[in-house]
Amino acid sequence: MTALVTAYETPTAAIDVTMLDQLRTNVEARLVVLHLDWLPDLVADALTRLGARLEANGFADPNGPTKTNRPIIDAVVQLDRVCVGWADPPGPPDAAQNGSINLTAVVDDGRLRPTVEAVASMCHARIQPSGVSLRGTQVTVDGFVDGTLDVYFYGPVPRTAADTDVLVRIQGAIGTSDQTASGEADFRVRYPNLDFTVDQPGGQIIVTISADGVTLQGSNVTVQCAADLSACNPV
Amino acid sequence: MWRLALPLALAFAARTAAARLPPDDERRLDEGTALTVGAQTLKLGVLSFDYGIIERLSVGIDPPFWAFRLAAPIFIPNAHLKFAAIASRRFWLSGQVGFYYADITHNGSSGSLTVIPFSGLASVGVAPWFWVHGDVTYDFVTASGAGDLDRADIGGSAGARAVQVGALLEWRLAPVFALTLRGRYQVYTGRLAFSGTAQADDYTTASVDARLTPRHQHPWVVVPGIALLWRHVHLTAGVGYGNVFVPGVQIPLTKQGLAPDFSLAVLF
Repeated sequence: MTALVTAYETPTAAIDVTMLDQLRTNVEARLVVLHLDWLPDLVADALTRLGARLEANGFADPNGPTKTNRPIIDAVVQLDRVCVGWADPPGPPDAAQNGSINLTAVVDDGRLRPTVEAVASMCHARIQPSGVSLRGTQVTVDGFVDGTLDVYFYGPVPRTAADTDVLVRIQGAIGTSDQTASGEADFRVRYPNLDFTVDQPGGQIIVTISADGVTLQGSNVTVQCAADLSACNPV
Repeated sequence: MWRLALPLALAFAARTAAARLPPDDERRLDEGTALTVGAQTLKLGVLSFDYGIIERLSVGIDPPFWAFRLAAPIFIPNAHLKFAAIASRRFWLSGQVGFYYADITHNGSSGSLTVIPFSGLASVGVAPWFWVHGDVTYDFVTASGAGDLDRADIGGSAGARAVQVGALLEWRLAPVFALTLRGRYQVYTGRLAFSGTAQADDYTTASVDARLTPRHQHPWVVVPGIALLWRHVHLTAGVGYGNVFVPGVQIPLTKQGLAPDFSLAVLF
């Protein structure tokens, strides 16, 4: 996870401004894999539950100050969340049918480690758009995740989806009710913005979706594109 | 000349004090010693309410822990009992046991903490005007649930299992006045394991496995002070240095510094 965090700090690949059309194609292909219209909301929802649990137990956020006037508290917090499923039948949630997400957080000296591991087991989730993501969908999506998730916190564990600032790596199957594909995906959620990387010769560039559109950041140049990637120009 | 005045005055006071000495009268120093409050005596103090059922047996509660409910949403019912196995003129040997229960339920997470301090106390009258009191205390702590772990401490120290030794030197200069020197040292500090599960909502279950370790393994305190022991009013006060040990549960606070010691009680 450390290498991935580093990869999101500085782009390692240069952008060839004469090949922007090809780069746009690569970015669009990456967007299809990442499911950024609903997947960040699913992750943010699980993390806000974790945030509530940590608050209830009196643990400090990652990167927060250590309370030296407090006893040393080492702990493992596990959060098991049954996914909401694609249907909403009456009665208690059915973990076997809906699947689940299991988060494991480790607390050292009263402070959460910045990296949290999670396992999504056949998680079927009807995602209600949170509205905080610029890339977020306006309609309900039936999402599916089955695999492992690694989450790195840049700041506090979110109490609301809008507070989310995390790097996420998912290895496994991701998709919707229409289609599912296996692979690896990583992205940074810092609502309302979203970052992800795209492989290019020599390394990776960083793509940011923000209110200003889509920004492609290479080691040599930054390119600003329209939200639909219809037009791109070096800055 | 004035340098001789204080020792002479103290020596004179000591001779005078020999006329009336603990534990034969009502002026017993019973807090932190093997001495009891006395038969059919009711003591209402800021740190402890006690009633002597018989000479050797007293029961009581610690009002500060009950009053804690006014300042924080934690209810800590408690009680303690002291029994003197030996109660002679110059030597007392007693046992004391307390019980403190804290409900640390918070934001839907249930949790509780129980502290049971067992103490063995001895008081020896080395001379009629000079007593040495000592104790060995084992703090037995259990915790359960998944409540707010921060509340498992009092003022910053974990309620871990611990063994402590304490000593109190009492130099009775007059029937109502004594110089005191109180010391306490935590010889052993254990860890407190804490685990529990909470159902946050229909979809979410959370479990916590935690271990609390006090930041200071061997807290200590030394407090010189005075005791004013009138027939119906007992006042002890002092200021020393070290970790403040919370009276009753004997849990040390994390921070070291000036350590005040104060107790005021009315006896009937």
